[in-house]
Amino acid sequence: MDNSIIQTNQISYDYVRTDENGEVESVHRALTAVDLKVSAGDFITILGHNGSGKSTLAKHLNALLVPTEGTVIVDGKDTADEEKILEIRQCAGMIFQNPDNQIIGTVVEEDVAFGPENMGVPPKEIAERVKESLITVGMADYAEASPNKLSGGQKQRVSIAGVLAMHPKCIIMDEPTAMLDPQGRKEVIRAARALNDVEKITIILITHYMEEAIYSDRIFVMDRGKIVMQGTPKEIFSRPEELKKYRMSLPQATEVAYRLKKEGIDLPDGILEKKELAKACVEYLAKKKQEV
Amino acid sequence: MELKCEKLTYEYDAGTSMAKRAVDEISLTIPSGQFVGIVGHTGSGKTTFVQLLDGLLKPTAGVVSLDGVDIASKGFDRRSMRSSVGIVFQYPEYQLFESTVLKDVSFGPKNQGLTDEEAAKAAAEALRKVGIEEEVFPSSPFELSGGQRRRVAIAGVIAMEPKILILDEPTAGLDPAGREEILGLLSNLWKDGMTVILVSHSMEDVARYVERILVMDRGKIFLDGAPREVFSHSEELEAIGLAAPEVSYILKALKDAGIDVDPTITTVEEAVKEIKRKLC
Repeated sequence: MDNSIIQTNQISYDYVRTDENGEVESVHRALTAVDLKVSAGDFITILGHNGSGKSTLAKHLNALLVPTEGTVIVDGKDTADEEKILEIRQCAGMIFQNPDNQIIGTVVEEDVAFGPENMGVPPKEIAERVKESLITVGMADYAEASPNKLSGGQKQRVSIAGVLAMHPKCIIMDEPTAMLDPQGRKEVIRAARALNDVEKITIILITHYMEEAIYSDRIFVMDRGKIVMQGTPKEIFSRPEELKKYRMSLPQATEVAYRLKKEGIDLPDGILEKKELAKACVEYLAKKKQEV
Repeated sequence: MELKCEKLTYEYDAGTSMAKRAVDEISLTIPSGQFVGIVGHTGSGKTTFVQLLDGLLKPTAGVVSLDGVDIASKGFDRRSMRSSVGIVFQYPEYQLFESTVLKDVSFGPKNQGLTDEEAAKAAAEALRKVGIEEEVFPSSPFELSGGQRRRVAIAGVIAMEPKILILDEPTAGLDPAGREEILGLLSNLWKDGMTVILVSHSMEDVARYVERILVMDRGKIFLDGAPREVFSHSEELEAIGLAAPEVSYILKALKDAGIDVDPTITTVEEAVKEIKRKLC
């Protein structure tokens, strides 16, 4: 059985610029024949340089954009079908970069209630959903706080709670940590991982931070509107030269291991975390001792 | 040019019951030609602090002085401020507005009173410094990539030839290669003698590039020192929403696993050298 929640079939997208008479001035192809398949319950990461088409792709996944060519199927529904747009947006929620642009309520719980209210959820159920969602992202203590008193990480978690309250199957996060301090980044990534682990919500994370990608099930790398690499974090981060070509870098532990290898120290490929690196170094030393 | 502040204080809504102290009696001196990093969690007062240094906000109390002259005093020539201290705001590319790259960068120098020709020359020089090629000069800023736009915006400030350059999170939202380009550029400006003050959320970036780190918390300077010194306080940093660079946690993990490495190292280059020494 096919358990994919999101599937794009050879989608292309053109940004068309027109002059004041409606004549086409220029056409910029932002996506070219992209095939992306995400299974329900997966945590996937999309990497790619500025202008590679990541955000354009993300906007296709909850029908903010409709492809110029090809089709996008979300939970069995075609995003080109206008009658299905509301259902699609309920199924696939979206979180953006700037938390300040996403919060509209003057009180946290009001903000979180906005989505389900718009969906016509009965008031009693709304209250339950708001409470649940705030607990899930660890913000229950701030239910009655004013959003502008919160830190960036906290605001972003409130935004996530707002999407959660609509009971989505999938959440798309477009650089949710780009404007946050280290603590805020950790909070948001932790919340995303918990949603995936515990609530089994499919997560699609777009980021420029390699460290945030290491826990995903699959990574897709984009360049000039195309998917140019895909695989598990281990597979992707074992190809440093290629990543560099696409303006990406390595997680720090991987970078250290890679440079040690270049210096002639034989460590295994695909080290992602500091503990793996420490273990590999200990094993290297033990092996060397044996040889002596 | 020496930048000094004494008991510098700023309150939002000063004099009302809502008064909130964003900068709290900060005193320090930044000597000419220093590369300084300012870190702190969101809301710690970093942005307010640098806006005071640039004279954009008027202190509630205390003094900012440039080479010993109080910038709020009558004797200070306000017009000279832009050629002394330049500031690059967050997401500065949103402020590009001219029809071509060259015109946009010429805007500042023209305002300083240069002729069109002189301004264009200063702009071309600034663009060269940030690595924007001449064939891009006639393009609209909106045709450029994110990283290029950011560099053009920085050139707009450099073109006014400030002695001190302040940047508020200049790498936010850029891809890894774009971040490297901006940081390399700042490093070059600093090597040419400019004072560079970098506000950043990336501990890795400040560890690698700056000479001195100021850690802010609740409007005060919490720590002030060389990267190694500051990052040796990793637990205190975590308590105020920050962290040490990832590489120092890597070294700690190695140490915990029984490999006797120096955990105060803060850059990848040094870490690789240190680990290699212990493994060979």
